[in-house]
Amino acid sequence: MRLRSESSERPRSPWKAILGDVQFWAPFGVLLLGLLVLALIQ
Amino acid sequence: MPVPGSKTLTDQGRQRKLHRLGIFCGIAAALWLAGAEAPTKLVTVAVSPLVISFMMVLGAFVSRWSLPAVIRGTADTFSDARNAPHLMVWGVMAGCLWATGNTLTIFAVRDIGLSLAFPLWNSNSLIGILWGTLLFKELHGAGWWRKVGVVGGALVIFTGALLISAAASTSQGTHGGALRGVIAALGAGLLFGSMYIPYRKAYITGMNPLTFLTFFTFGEMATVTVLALVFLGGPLALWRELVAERAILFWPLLGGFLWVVGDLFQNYATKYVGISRGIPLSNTNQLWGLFWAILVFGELRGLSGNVYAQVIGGSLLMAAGAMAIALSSASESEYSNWRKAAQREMDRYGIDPAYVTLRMEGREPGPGRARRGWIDWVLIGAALLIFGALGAMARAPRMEIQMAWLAALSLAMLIVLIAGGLALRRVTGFS
Repeated sequence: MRLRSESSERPRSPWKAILGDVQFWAPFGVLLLGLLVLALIQ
Repeated sequence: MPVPGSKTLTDQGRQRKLHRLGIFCGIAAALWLAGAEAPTKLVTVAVSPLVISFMMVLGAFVSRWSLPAVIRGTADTFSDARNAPHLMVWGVMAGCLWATGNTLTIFAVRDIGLSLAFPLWNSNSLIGILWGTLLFKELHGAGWWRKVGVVGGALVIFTGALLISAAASTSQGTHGGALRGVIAALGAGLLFGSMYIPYRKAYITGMNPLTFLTFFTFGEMATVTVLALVFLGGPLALWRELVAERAILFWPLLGGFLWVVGDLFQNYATKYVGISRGIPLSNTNQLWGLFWAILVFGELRGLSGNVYAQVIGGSLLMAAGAMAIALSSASESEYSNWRKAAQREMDRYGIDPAYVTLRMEGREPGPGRARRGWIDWVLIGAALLIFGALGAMARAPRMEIQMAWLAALSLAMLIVLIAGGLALRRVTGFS
């Protein structure tokens, strides 16, 4: 049986949980910056 | 049922065993990651960096699907992913970060040479520690010795990077575009360092590195394909480049394979000793990279003694700083922080606490793993076919290579592969 911890902080949908997570936006921002640098030095 | 936060004497014995395993994996990763960069030397023989990067990622893509098939079976990968499906997003993003960073390293190698570019992009461990502190509260509540070790180590690494940068600018005449090369190498460091956010997120949840890295391949393959198509001018132009350079395509493909083995070791190190120790240890690959550059490829000949001193001194300083950081971790506070970070993931994404606890300890949550099926043998066969076909077309690049040193370094890699593989199998069953 799959046990899950309950928390009132948990967003209702998985995508809301992902998009509301700073640990998603930090690497995503760096990725955009890296692509910009690549375009400039190419 | 064990839950994060519980702790027994058995747990402590297990943690010590996993700690030793993680440290060994970090060292093994260093050897293999250094070996993987050697094929990028081919960019000096007028091959487009994008073609080299594309082939290296293709080699990584093929290896990432076939190696897990060999080790645990593909069914096990998908079964593991169902426990934390949100991590597929981070797996793909980590692949995008790596592919973009890897393309930048190829520009850096072309412009300032392997031995100069390597230490600069290896500053990624500093970025990783910064993210670990900001996003995962790694240093919060740690003893002052650990803080001194980490901050002092970071400063020593920065000093080493400055020395290397100075050497890069004095040797500008040999390669051209030194500033562009330094920017590319530092950009790669930022991307690789930020890639540890997804890594950290996956392993505090307890995911198997083989699972995480399988989804990583989609991000890296898609990104490098888009980059190659955009910058080379479309699919026909890319195909023409690949056909024209078919005699050297095998070498970056082989580099991709070596990189996957190194990265698997790096991921097991990250899982079992964390970012702050695992990444700096695997980043001692700059010393092995220096051995490759000087002993195998004869780099740095004909430059002044001052430049040699800067490059070697800078590399040693960076490695010493990395070791200071690696040795400054306070185990119990770190494990305590791991448990807090894991709790956040369980709360936010609703992950089974039993899965997280068992996987963090390198144990299996279910009644045994899935068996290898026909799809695994197809993947293994396809990988061998691709490597075999490109290997048959391969020609040795026209550059001076010291074969005795090549054999010695390859033997060292083989020995750590066998030792690391046996240890991972015995202690964790590759979990």
